[in-house]
Amino acid sequence: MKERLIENALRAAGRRPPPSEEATQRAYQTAREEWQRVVRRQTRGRRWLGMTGLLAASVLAVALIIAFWPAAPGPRIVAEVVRTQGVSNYRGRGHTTEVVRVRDAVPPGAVIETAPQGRLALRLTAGHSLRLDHATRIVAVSPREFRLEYGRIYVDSGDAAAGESVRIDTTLAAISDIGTQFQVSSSSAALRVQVRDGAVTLSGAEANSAVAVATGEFAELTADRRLTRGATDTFGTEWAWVAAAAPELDARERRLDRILAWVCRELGFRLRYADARTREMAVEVRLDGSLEGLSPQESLEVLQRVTNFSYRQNAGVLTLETLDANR
Amino acid sequence: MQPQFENDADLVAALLAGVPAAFEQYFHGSYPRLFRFALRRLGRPELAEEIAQEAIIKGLRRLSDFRGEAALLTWLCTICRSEIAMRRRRHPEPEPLQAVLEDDPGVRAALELLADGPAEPEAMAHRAETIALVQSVLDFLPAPYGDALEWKYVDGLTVAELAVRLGRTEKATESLLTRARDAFRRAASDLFAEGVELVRP
Repeated sequence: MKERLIENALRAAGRRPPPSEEATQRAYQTAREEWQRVVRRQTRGRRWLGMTGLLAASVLAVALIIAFWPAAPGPRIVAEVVRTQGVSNYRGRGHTTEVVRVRDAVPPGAVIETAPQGRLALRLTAGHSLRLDHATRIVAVSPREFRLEYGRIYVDSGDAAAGESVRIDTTLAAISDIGTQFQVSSSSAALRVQVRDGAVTLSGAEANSAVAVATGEFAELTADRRLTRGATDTFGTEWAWVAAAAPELDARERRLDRILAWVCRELGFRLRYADARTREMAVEVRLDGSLEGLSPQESLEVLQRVTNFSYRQNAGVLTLETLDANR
Repeated sequence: MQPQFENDADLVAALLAGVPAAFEQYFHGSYPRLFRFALRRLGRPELAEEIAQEAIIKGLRRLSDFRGEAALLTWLCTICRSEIAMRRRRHPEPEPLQAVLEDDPGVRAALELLADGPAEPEAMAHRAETIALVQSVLDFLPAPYGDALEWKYVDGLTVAELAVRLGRTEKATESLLTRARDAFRRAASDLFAEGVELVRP
């Protein structure tokens, strides 16, 4: 009888409403990055405590003098190189030019330039992904401030902590993100900003006011200060270079739903599951083997071949549906 | 999946030590529950998702402050309440029509302590407030009791299917279901023993 009452109560209540898959993926990625930052801070703190303990112990043996660590003069790195294609160079404060390699640390003041066939992806210490297209030069002013001297860059703040905004200065205007994916093309003749997701503000384009550019919009400012605004696609050929320069997916990732979230983020698609059953199955499917070295588009093509789902892409929406033998 | 860290103190220690399984347990154990906690107060799923994400992240930033005096979920709900309050200050909105029962001090204490109760639960009417209360109880039970009860009685999984999902033997799963039912019964008993009025204006 007791169990019957509980059973009735639970059946009457029904299933607890879950958060959406998209929100869950987004929260997971953001939280994971924050957790990694927390762990790094913990590790540095423990190392610092260990070193001061050792120092105090050795000093006490000689004299009763306490040493203090000097305050850090400023951040020593602003970004880490996570992917390169072709050749890219950087010039540090010492004015020597070096070839950029994966895992290189970028110090403040570094000038980074990609060759005509080169591309580069950076992970900023603030958490953003910043990518350089062919023939692009930037100056890494600080962890959250970069100057785009010419060329084209893409910024994705998806993994950055809330409130960690990045500012991109150009000769014509400055762009600040508000939780976004956007690209900026800059030359002496014009500046063009396209927003895939979120919003940016453009400062210096109009006197005494900042211009907001939101999802699916572009703003173009010419050297003679003419500002044009309009709608733009958030996926397709104009964004193809972004996916080509994307940092690789973690080779250990096997969960289909997370792989799909990465693919869709990089290709600018919205992911939609045809029904709840498809969503549940996507969470449970684990890939046998890795997609290491594959681009997002190549990864999607592999998934279409090896998984038991149909993938329909239309107007920027990727719909996943189970393949049912009885249909 | 069976939780690897059985108590909150071990989970937090493992999180701070950078153990990946700890993060998985923290996120997947907390995010959906915080979402529902926020949803019951705000009534808007997208906003609740946003608030729950903020609470999860702030919880990570303040992990070193967690003392274990309350359950980790309770602690995270406190952060979530604060986020909701800040949001309401910035964007005043009409209060949801249905009062949130778990904000009643007696109800909150019952959910948090899950102490033994003397009485059997009475037959429950099928009302929206009761549903919310039952779902709150499930969320506040220690993991994976809430999930196990939902999978068994709402989704209709067999014990064998549950065992696979939980990564346990069938015997261990039966034992877990017994403990889960006992925990649910005690929580519900306490709520009725407190004389909580299930219908609020």
